[in-house]
Amino acid sequence: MVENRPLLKLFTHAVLILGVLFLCFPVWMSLVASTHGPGALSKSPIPLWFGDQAWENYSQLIFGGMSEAGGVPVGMMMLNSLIMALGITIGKIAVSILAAYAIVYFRFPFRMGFFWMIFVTLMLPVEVRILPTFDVVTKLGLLNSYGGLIVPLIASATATFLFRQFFLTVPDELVEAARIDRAGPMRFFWDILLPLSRTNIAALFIILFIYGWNQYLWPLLVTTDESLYTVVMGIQRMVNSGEQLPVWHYIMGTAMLALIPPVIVVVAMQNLFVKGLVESEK
Amino acid sequence: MATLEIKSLGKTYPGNVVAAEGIDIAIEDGELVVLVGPSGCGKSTILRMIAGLETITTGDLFIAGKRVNDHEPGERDIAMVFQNYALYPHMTVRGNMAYGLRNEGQPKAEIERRIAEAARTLRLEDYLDRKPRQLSGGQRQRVAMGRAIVREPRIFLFDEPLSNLDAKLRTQLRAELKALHRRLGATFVYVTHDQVEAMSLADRIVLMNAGQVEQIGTPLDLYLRPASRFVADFIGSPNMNVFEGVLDGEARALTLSGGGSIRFADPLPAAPGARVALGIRPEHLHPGDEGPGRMELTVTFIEQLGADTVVHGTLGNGREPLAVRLDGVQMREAGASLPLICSPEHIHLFDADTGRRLN
Repeated sequence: MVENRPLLKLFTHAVLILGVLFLCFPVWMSLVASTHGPGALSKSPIPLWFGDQAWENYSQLIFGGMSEAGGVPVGMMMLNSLIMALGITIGKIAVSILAAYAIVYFRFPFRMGFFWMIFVTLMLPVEVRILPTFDVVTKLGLLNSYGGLIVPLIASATATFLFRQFFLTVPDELVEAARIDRAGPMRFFWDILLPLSRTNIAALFIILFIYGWNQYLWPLLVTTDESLYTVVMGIQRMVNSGEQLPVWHYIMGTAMLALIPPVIVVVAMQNLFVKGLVESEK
Repeated sequence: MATLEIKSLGKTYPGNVVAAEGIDIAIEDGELVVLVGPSGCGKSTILRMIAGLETITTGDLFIAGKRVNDHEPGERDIAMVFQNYALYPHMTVRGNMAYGLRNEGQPKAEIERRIAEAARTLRLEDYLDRKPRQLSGGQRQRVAMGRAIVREPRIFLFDEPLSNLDAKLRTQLRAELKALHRRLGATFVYVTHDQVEAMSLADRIVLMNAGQVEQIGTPLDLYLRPASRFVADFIGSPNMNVFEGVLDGEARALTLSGGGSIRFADPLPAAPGARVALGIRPEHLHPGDEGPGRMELTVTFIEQLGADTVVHGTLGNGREPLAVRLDGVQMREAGASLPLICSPEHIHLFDADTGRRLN
């Protein structure tokens, strides 16, 4: 469609720019607030430009203990979040790609039964099964450990289903060619299926990493030890710090820090992600 | 290099669907055998059973005298070329060719040597570091052949390898394939639904129909002495003209079911009064007024192919279609009458009910 109507162009651009501003304004506010002293956000007018406390605020956040969040430095919480998010992401991808491989490429009794059992767990997110899961984790002695944070969140019906759908589009002749080329089941998986799933894995990695990073309820339940707190929990604790006024400049700073890893993941993987969407390698 | 023996081979799919039954084929060392037939006739199933991609329900399969029914595809010392190439999309051409060899545990130098040789044979030297998606269809199929060659298998299997290519490329690759067979001297088993491909490539053709072998023979055997009406119809283009009718008391004249009759000088080799199907190839009919086997064609339309002309028309009262192939460029008006004769040695006679050959 070739159109040349300057007014329309102006209008559409105005709408787009407005949308961008609308989305970015809260982020801007947090960024600005995190560079001011404690009182700045309680006074009117709220500052819209950087203050002079950035260095002090962020170094206190990252290395110093935050009494409002249980005396744990945010750096530590970030590390905990990172370990949890990576554990969940890698675990989910590993488990679901293997499950999908088994379901698509092997004939075993009750194959479809197992598939539907996995599928049905879509109806059982953490929130629904939280009490029995907590019970199991307690009995396994996994409270206050990375294992307790990660393992119950690893099974993923969605990812299994996605990989299954992808595997079903891989031509049978490729499997047959590999069989003639003397590739056993594991060889085929490593040498052919896994490289072909590269873009799918990248897309899932982005989605699952953000899912893991944003976990709140489950970490809140299984950790009582401050050294295992995650950053999302930390923000929440700072907001509800009892009698005192909320320390908005620290809260905003923590929020800014908590944004960084998901942004890095998205930026680093978006190339592969988009590639996976636009080009089929089959 | 090896012989391949198929003994009363059969395949039944779940639900009692019989894909092939009682297949007996003995393939000599270094022979190029083409399995041909219409789609669904079981030719691909047989090839896949030879490859080991499909389990064998009944019968035995011997490669170089050894029974291999229960061997994995990788252990049968075969290589296969697929219709849609089945190249590994994430590997380079070199990687595609090397993959099977690496799995066999061949030393690096040997892999390099074989790839270099195959690339030279197939003129792929400039493309070794490209990915399959950067290649054209013909190049991809050459890579697939390269992947087969480097493995130096006893038997090459081809499953309609040229069907995805355009006509010109198909002819070119067909010639290359024939040359490759001559150079390697290996046993080739080739599946196609294209009778021209079968005729031009094969040392021997196995023509299949509905899961069974109709005829095994050299291309000329099948052309000159088709064992059944099905074979006669399948081989040759344009198709053989076949008329059904009843012989007279002397077996000299055939009364066509579509009306009219054809008279011959000598009795036909069939019981007088029998119901038969008479076949004549379009290229064996010649314009002429005098002589036995005379018939009168009413032209409906003509196809000008340059080298020859195919005249389509009807016999008798217009219910028996007939095609004639004439040399060179010939003009005929629609509705015109064209008298034809056919010499008796070009007549094929089939039983009207069973379709088996009578003469």
